[in-house]
Amino acid sequence: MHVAIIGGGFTGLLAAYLLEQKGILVTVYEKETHVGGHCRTLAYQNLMVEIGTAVSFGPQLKELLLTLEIPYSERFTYRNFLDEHYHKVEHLSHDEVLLLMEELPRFEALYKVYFPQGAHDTYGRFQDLTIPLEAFLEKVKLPMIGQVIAPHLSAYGFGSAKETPAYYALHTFDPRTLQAIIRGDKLLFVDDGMSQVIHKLSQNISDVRYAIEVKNIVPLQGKVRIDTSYDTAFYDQVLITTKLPKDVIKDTLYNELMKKIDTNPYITCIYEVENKNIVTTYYKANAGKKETIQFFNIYKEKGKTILVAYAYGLLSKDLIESIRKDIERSGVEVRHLVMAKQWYIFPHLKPWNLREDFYVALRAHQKESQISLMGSLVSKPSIAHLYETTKAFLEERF
Amino acid sequence: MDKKQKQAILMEGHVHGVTKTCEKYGLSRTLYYRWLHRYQRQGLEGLQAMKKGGDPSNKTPKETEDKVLSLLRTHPAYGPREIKYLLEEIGLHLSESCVYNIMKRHDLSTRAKRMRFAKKKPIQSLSSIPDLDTLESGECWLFFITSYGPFQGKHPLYAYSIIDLKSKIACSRLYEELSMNCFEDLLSAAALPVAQNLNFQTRHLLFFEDPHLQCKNKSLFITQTQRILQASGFDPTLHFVGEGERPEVLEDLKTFYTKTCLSSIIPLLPTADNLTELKLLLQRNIRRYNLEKPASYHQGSMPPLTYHSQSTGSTMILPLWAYLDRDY
Repeated sequence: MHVAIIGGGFTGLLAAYLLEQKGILVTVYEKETHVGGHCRTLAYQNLMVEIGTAVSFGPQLKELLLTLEIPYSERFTYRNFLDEHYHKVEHLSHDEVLLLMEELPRFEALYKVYFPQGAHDTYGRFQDLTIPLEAFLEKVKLPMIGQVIAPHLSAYGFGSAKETPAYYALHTFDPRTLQAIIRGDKLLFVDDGMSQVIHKLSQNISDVRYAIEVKNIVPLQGKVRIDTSYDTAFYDQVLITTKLPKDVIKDTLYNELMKKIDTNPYITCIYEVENKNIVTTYYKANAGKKETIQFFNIYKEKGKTILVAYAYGLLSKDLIESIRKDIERSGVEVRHLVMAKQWYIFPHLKPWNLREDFYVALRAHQKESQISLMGSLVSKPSIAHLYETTKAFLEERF
Repeated sequence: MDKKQKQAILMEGHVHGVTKTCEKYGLSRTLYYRWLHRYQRQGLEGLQAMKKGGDPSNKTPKETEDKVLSLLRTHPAYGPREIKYLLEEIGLHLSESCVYNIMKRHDLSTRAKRMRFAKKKPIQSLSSIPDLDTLESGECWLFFITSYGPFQGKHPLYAYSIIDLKSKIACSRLYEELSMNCFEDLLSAAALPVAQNLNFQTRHLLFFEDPHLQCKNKSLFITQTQRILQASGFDPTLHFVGEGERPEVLEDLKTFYTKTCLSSIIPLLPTADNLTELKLLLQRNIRRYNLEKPASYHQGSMPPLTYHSQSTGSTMILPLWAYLDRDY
């Protein structure tokens, strides 16, 4: 058996690694000159600055890190919240916390109704969760849950609670994750950066094709043909882990998804700054708003502090300027810009494209086809969860 | 001896005889003839002192030696093998004998010598007490351990507490052992996040020394504590206060907090089903103590958190979890 994997991001490489462990022949196609996708670390003097995926909540990833012998650490992180006037505020006030306490058990009960198996799976039936999160939580009278989720929803790259379909948001912010946020649990950091994970996975994969764009994926009499700009090859199975341009996949249902699927334009903006005593800070009033800073992370060592800010939108001089101003207004002295980088994250369907059984139909089709979709195309975009779902999917299919 | 001097000796030998000249300068005849042959072959340049072959190719790099030395400073009691294992953890693979040779080169081959070496380090810690009258809210913390005796007839139970001297804002956690890890947990999970949020400008951290609860390796404890504090942007001076040296204010504060908070779980000790339950009860009491229970200050009677925001003119900002039950 020979399997082609489209996309050399975390899911693609993980799948390739796990399949090779099973003795299955694998070829990875990556359209960039480097693998890793959203897992990327910038080595800045002695600092390992994450410019994409930064941390993980779940303990699931530890298993992978241990087998690959990658050192990690678990640390408490401190979060600050700022209001529209750049003043420090509480995430929730004392009175709001009392309301939250009352809402939590109701949220858990409601969650069980919508996700009877928990949220350890890929996307499934949307039911009436196609409406935006905010509208849904208003309907079921859980406004404080919404308050807790909103800044994190934005930080994960989902966008605004006013727009994100409730299903996607709740799939990610299950009661367990919510509890972890509320308790301020330790987060898991890879000591040498997420790039180290990519590096170690790559070392165990024998066939990666770089800078080669896939033009056609055609199911053909029990095989799948892949045409690139330069050559053609046949495979027994194809795993797609990334959004492809329309009409690449010669399969009506998959192609329909690829045409409808949207991503959020997201920007990482890295500055060297003066202040030492700053921590991860969320701009609460901006949560989900386009073209405004959402939050920043801090990496520091003696004499050097690096700030990584995140915002929705497309790179432009004006946007970078406005991010810088927002950082300065919160009392941080910016030395200079280190990097500005455009991402497209969180593949999802907009409410008007969402049919309640879309992903169910997709999963049924997947069982019959030699082509399957995996990773963040069909599952929540958290690294620990991607590890779990990828492992489970391959276990079942191969 | 430079080449000119050697040449002069060769000339003298030529004129006055080799044996005599060699005796005069304390040289062997072998050396004299070696010089002579080189002089005949290469001229004056042949008498240039020959360069030694430079550093051996397998010489341990200075950075590695420095790392070994800094490990020795923190772990003076460790021998070459233990240090070798510690080095492996940071990705350095040296042999045991290599570590030993480094020790020998720095005259640190015995444990006693290493102990002396470790103590030489300028440790930023004092046994004196800062001027307590000039302190502001949040500037000076007190750390102490309270022992409850064995819980359910098994492990001993301890409360680790940190209390701010001026505001009386406090946090405590229950643990079943005496260890650096417990202190680190209290500091990084509870004390530091709250201090960050409340904008504490902490300048002093006082430790009540208890002869029964001696830390085995104080310098290691200090280094580790400073590392944790500095990683969160705090750099207080650490003070160690012996039993006889404590001013009344400190003793009073400890007694006050013990009475209002820590003692509350004593009646529950015989009946409590498990530690989780006790931890939760204590946590709730501490929350009530900080947020609601009035304590007395010069300015009047009010809860500690209210005092802090009043005296510093800041709004009270707490992390979400500070209001909720939290397992640990």
